[in-house]
Amino acid sequence: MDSFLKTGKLSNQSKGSGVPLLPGNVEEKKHSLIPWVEKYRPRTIDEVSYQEEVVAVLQKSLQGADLPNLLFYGPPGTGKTSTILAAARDLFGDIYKDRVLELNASDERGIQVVREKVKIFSQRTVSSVRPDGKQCPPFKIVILDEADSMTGAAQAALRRTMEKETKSTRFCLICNYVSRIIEPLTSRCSKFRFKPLPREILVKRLEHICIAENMSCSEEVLESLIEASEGDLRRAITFLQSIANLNSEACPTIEDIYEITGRVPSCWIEGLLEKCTSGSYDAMQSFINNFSAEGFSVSQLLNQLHERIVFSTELSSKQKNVICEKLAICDHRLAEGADEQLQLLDLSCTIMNSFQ
Amino acid sequence: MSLWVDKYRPNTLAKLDFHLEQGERLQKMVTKGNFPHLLIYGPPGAGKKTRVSALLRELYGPGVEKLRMEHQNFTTPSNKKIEVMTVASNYHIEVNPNDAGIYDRIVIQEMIKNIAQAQQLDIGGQREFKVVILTEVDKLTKDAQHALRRTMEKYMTTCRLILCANSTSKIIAPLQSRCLAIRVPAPSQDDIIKVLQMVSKKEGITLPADFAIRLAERSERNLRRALLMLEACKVQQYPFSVKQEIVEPDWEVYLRETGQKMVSEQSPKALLEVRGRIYELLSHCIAPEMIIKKLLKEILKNCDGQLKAEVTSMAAYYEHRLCLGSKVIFHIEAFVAKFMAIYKRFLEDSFANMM
Amino acid sequence: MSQKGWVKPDFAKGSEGYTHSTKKQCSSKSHMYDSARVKQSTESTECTSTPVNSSELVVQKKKVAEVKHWLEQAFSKSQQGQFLLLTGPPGCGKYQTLSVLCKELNIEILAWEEPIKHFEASEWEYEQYNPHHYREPKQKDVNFYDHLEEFLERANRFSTLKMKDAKGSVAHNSNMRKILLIKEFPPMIFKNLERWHNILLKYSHRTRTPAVFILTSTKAFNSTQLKLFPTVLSERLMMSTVNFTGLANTFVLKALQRVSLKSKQATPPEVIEGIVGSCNGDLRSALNAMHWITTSNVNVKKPPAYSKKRKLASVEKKDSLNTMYVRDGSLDFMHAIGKILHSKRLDQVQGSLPELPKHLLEEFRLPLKEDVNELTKNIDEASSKVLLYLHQNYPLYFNRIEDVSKAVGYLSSADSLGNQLVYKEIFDEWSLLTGVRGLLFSNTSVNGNEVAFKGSAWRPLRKPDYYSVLQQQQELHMHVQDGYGLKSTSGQLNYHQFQVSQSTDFSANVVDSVNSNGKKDRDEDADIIIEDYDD
Repeated sequence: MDSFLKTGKLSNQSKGSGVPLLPGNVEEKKHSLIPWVEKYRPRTIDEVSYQEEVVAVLQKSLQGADLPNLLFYGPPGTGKTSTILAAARDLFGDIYKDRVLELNASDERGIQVVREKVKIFSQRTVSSVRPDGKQCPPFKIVILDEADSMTGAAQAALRRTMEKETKSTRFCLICNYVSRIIEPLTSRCSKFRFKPLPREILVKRLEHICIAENMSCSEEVLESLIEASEGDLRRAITFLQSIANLNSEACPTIEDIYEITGRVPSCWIEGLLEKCTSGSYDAMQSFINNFSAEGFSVSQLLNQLHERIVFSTELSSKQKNVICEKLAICDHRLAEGADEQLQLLDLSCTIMNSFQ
Repeated sequence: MSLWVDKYRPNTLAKLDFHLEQGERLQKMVTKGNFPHLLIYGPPGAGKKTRVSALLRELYGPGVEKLRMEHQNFTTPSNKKIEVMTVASNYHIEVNPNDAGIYDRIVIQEMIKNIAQAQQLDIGGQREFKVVILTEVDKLTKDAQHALRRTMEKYMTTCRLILCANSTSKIIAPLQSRCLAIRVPAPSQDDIIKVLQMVSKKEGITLPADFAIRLAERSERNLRRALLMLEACKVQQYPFSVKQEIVEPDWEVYLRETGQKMVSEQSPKALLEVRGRIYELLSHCIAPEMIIKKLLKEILKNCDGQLKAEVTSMAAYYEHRLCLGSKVIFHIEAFVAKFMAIYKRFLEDSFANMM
Repeated sequence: MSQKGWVKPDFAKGSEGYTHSTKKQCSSKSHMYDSARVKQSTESTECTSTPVNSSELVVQKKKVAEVKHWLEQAFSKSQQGQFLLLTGPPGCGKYQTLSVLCKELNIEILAWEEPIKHFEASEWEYEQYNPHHYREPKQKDVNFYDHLEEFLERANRFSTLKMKDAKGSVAHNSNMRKILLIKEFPPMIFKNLERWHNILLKYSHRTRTPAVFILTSTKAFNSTQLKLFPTVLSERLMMSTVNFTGLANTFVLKALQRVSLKSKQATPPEVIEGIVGSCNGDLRSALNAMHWITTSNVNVKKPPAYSKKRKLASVEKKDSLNTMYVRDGSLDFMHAIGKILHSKRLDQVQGSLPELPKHLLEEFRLPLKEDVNELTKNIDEASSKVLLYLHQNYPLYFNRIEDVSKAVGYLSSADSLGNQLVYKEIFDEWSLLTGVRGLLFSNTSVNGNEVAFKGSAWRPLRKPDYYSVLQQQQELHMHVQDGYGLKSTSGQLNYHQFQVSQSTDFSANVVDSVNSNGKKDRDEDADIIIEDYDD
């Protein structure tokens, strides 16, 4: 949250002039430190793309309607946090810092902490007039990011708090999976599902950033970037910044994208499948040794392999079934710290057997 | 005189022997001045450390090569004292947080806090940040990794992290997204041969091309291993003959013999013998997963297709158990015993078929 | 200030462990065996059994001779600083040998004691007024070395050292030859090993009084010894070393019989045998055990004891008696292990068992004779220790590798189960049950199907090698860490170095596992004694 507030402040300064000012060298250096994700967050809810439903509700509340408690859910990088932050900025303007409490998973979030923090925050009364004289709603907003990682007990504790403070505080819960939020909480909020962003919108957004950052990027590269980031805009922007960091002058290539995102080039996946169909264990083993020597991450390979297998046409459902089960097992073992090479070998043996 | 591995380690980015393009890019990044957190990953012996130290030199000049060893003390909340050894210069500090075991989170947080808060005295210095190098990040507990992401954001202005890891599989996604990930693939065989030839030339010894190729093959694309083997071979016999035996670490030879024992006899008694050998290896700090991998490699030579798959899946299963349990010998022995049972059945079956 | 610590040891004063016991100090006024006997009610058997001359020593004759030879030559030569290091497992008679020999050779022993309270007189009084006065550990630190140094200095400076004896009753013969004895190495000594080495070196240059160090070693590979007396140092000091080994059971038996004869109450022979069996070469603990039995079980009647002797062969019957003489329950523990490994199944069952489906017929087992839950409940040890013992010994009880592979699979599962952080107690129990039941189930060669392993029925239970392996790992790890900085700068290159750097390369990966293993098992008792258990 700290970093968020910090950048919020910085961007507020630059907002006044429209274009970021670069008065000196130091300022410039500091500027390069701001993650682009923060730099290019939508500033107003009008800027929020694609999520018409929630935008409509928020706009109404801008015009004076009451704001319900909100529950945003949807895949990562679809703009959940950005939307509520933009709305808060629209609602409160400069005093937005005093009116919003953002808690996310990396902050302490036990039951006690949530109760204390939220209680103290929500008990402060607020006026309905901004310092600059404009009208603003007489409530504060508590944003609970990554709410699905809160324990059930903490969520239950929240229930009471939400009801008690309803006069002066609105809650906005943000999560990836609505099923992980307990029923009593979801029933107290209006739910909004954030749809995965379609490709065109992602491309448009990335192009916008490229122009602003004075980067030249071909359509093709952006496409593969989006593929690598699996529709997650935040990841795509982060990757874009990394690429800009690594080589700013030259135009990035698709190989660069693979390099930055750690994605395994598809030739390796095809190669692995081919070796598996060949039925020669030794060929497969040396292929896997080479693969690990290249330093690719096996868990990344498993993800991509999964995609490849599920959508493959040459495999029967039964084969897919067997392979996917083993995939899950190997992924679990990897997550628990098992050796990459051995697990990949094991998986490949299963694939090989399923071909015979 | 030091080991050739250290002696011929390139100390600037420009002098790197392979992955030249990557080196260029790193250099550009340094000259441009925006230096994000880095995550450098790749298999052992690929040159991660070499790149890091060259990068540091690029950043701060030869001053970083004045290293000193320090023991830093940390106190855990339960008042337990941990001592961690660090290697540091005026500009950077290198630490392996795993030395602190399960207390790695405290070490990381405290150390970075200390460094970030201490102002750099040398105002004339080129950089306004110090570098903290964390090695073996993939072995960090999840707890420590989560703590790291907060710490990274908090002290971004005064310090940069360079994380070294063998693979990104075990590094949590938020941490990966905060770093610029740089993959260092193992050198290809040709690269290794080139380096071997270069080193022999500088040492003034002749290295027959065939022998170099054999060395490169045996090195498993690990440059450090290749250079150590070259040096050991030189000590053993020089001038080189093409047929010369390549010196291997004795524990690998020992493991190979162990594997042969498993193939030659399958009985409780043989198991006890193998156990003794495994204990011997373990007491010399050979990593248990390494034991399983090398054993697997050895015994697979004696298996046919279907059996290979079965044994491999056994190995994967029990190697995973290593991470769950605390007594490695149980799991390695379980693997050995399972193999013996499978192999015995296989022998009996094939014997019956022959009749 | 340090005068308090200067104590002249009495010969009757037995062993390391009890040096500070006040009870011991008053009782040890009696130097002779006979007078001790009178006071027997207040003394432990240990005192009554102190040998009076070298012929009574139960230590190996060769070792005694070695020590004697050293003592003799130490005074015959006029060389500076003679050093002797005695090492051996606890209770094997290191000190007794020395003291008896010294007495025979008319040598006085000046023993250094760890200063418990070393304050200036005023402080000392203050301490008395205020028992809760907190002592600065740092000050203690400094004092510790000062104390040691001063002690050595004084011993050196005065040709006849006047001992400050509380009673002042012992007249000193100024011509008496004396040796210095240091047999306690408090943990503080490791804080500043360099200083300790310097003190020794300084002493060796300036003194002519021979010095003896007694070091109790517990492990095969002893790091303490290497730390205290590194090879370089002992070479410079020209230190001789005598390694005592654990006493053979026959020696212990002889000693116990002798003591039993001398004492008022005779201990039944089978009890003595039991003690001998459980003491593992540690005479002192054997004596203690015997003393405990004779005092607490005064009514060990002969007739029942004899009847028991006849049944000794049966393991189960031994249980009732052995609780009397086992030292720490480890024999009980070994019994349980033995029972699990030696599982017996019923030959037939009353009534009919439910039929197994065809594909499971291979898994058919007759019911066990023992109740497994009862058995595991009675084991007080941590489940991981039980599993280690089972693991160490099980292959000898199996005939088929298929069974073994099943069994060790269960052990592997048990270990994975037992390594959970949450709900540890529950998982521990399940882990133990998985291991034990797994072993019982997998073994198909029970009830006489057993083909004895290598034709011998003698299958002693052994202590897991795991502990020593763990220790070696830690030592190597330490060694590697120390050598880490030197690696790249060291001059000579040889094949060994190649190995070292290779092993560092890989051991770096192991560091983590060593650490975590060490942590997990530190709570387990590392000093487990090897028990040979006759089945």
